[in-house]
Parts: sequence; structure tokens; C-alpha cells
Amino acid sequence: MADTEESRFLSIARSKLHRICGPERGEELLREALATAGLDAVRTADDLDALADALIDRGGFVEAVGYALQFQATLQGARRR
Amino acid sequence: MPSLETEYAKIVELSERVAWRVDDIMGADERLDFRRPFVPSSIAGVRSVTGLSPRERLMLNQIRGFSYVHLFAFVEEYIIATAVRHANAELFGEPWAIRALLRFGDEELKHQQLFRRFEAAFVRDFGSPCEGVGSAEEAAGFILGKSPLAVMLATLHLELVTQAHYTDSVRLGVADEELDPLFASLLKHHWIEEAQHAKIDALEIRKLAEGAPPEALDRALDDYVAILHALDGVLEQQCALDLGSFERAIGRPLDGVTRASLDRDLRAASRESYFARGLANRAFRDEVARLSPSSLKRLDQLTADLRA
Repeated sequence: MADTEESRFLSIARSKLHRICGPERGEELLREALATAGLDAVRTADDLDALADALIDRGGFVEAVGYALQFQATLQGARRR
Repeated sequence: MPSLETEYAKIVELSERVAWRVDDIMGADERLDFRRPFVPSSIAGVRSVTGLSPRERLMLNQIRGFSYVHLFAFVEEYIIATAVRHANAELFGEPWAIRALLRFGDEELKHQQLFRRFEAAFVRDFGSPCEGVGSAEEAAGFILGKSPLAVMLATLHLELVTQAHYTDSVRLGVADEELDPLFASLLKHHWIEEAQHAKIDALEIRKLAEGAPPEALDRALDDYVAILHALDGVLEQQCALDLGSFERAIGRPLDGVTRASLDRDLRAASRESYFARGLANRAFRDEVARLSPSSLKRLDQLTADLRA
């Protein structure tokens, strides 16, 4: 399941960030947020939730993307900490 | 198979084409026709009741019409929150999906305003106070605390039921009941927009179920059953309130036998029209069947439990 889940959740986050910030800046933000969240992959809804938190903490417009991902993570079964 | 983007785009296009305004269906000062029944007998559950005069039977039907709009305004509370939650999750993603979900939320809020307008017209002119179940927030909180997939299943169920209320009861069989034209129009226009919402529900269910482990799908079915049981409790309360409203309206208490028989008939009609017809709906069963091989058996068991 890991590969499927990883690509699915990561692809949701990537596509939102690319759409808002462009591919280069979006990819950079994704890498940074993954590092901040201590993730090397996004395997589960909880991982997506942690990634969302890292984006929310950055503030600005990226924060709004983080909130959208947080909703997505909750719908996919993330357990809020 | 069309892409999700195409499916959402089609829904938005159709939704724009069939959209209506609350004032188009019922003006703020319009009056219901209290010489006529408000809801089809399959929903009211009063056709087979004996020991009531034609006038009393008509009044009971109208009280059931009041509770119909009250109950739908009640459940819209959680459906609006669900639509907005899904729109939030989709934000910065596929524009057609966002538009479809935002329209979904907007239209559900509009339906709630329409139901409230009917309630107000009823309260103004019926001549006797009627009660509707309270604590919509509490029920919405309970439902929204369940698995999002279960919440969407329950939403699809309820939306398909509104289609059945119109197509089965008004268009296909009981036009001879000559319902109040405003109520008949409400059933029709509610269904017209819910038909689009049901398509959105199905797409959201597929998105939520994609890649979900079997235990999550099982839990969703458990939660869906729990939501229906909770709503059954709401219907039971409403039936009891309807009987109280009826006794006030006719100015006398019912004898024990008539009351028990009416209670049984109203509850059976409610379960049949709100639950059994949803559980038997082909589109609903097709969506549930995709979740797991044993899921249809659970629906059948639930139907049997509700009819017991």
C-alpha cells in the first residue's frame, strides 16, 4: 500500500503547491515542509496532516494551502493530534 | 471513462441550467392551500388509518408536510457543513471540482431557506402550534464525527430519497391526490438540484474510497449504519411530536388504541420513505457495492432491521 498511498497523498500536496506557487517554488516549498515535518515520504493521511501543519506554520498564502491539505487529510482519515 | 474534471464540469453546467431562486418557488407572502394534502400518502402514512374524519386525515397529512420540511431543514445542517468541508479540501486543486462543491453548499443552504419559508407559512396559517425536533447542531455533530466516507454515503442516500419522493410519489402514481401546488413544486425543485448533488456525492465517495484499506471501508459501513440508526431516533421523536401536534389541532386526545395504531403507521411510513427507499435505490447500491463484496448484505440486513 505504501507506494500507492505515498504517490496519492504526495501528489495532492504537490499539485496544490505547484498550482499556487509554480512548479519550481512549489517543489522547493514541498521539500522544505517535508523536512520541517520530519518526513521522508507521505505514506498516510497522518503524514499529509503533518505536512499540512508545516505549511500552515509558514504563514502567508502557503498557510491557506496548508489548511486545504489539512481538510484533505481529515477527510482521508487523519487523526488530529 | 470520463475524467473527474469532465464529470465535475458536466455537473456544474447542468446545475447552472436547472438552478432556481427561493422566490421562484415560494414568495415570502404566499399561502399554502389548506384545502389540499401537502405530501404524498406514502410519506404521510395516514391513508390506511381508520377512525379519523376526512378533515382530520387532511390535517394529519398537513402536519406530516410540516415535519417533512422541518426534517429536511434539520439534516441540511450537516450536509452544508459536509459540502463546505469537501470544498475546503479541494481548494487550490481542480477548479471544476471546487465550483461543483461550492455550488453544492450554496444550493443546500438555499434549500434550507426554502424549507424554513414553508415552515413559516405553515405556522402562520395552520391555526394550531406544531413542533419539530430540535438540536440540529447536536445531530450534525454526531454525524460529522463519523468517518467522512460514511457521512458521504448517508448524504447520497438522503439525496436519492428526495428523488424517489418526487419521481415515485408525485410524477408516477398519486397525482390524483392533488397536493398543494406549492408543496408539489417544492418536491420537484428540491429533487432537480439534489440530482446533481447525488452525482457529486458519488464522485466524492469514489475519491475517499480510492486506496482506502479494507478496515477503513468496513468502518465506513459501520458508521453509515450508526448514522441511519441515529436518524431513525430523530424520526421516532418527530412522529411522537406529530401526534402531539395532531391532538392539539383536533382539540382532543386520541384514545389509546388509535394513538398506538397511528404511531405505528407514521413510524412505518417514515422508515419506508426515508430509509428503505434509499437502501433499495439502484444508484446507491451500486456505489456501496464498489466498497466491499459483503456490503450489499449489510444493506439488506439493515433494511430488514428497520422493517422489523
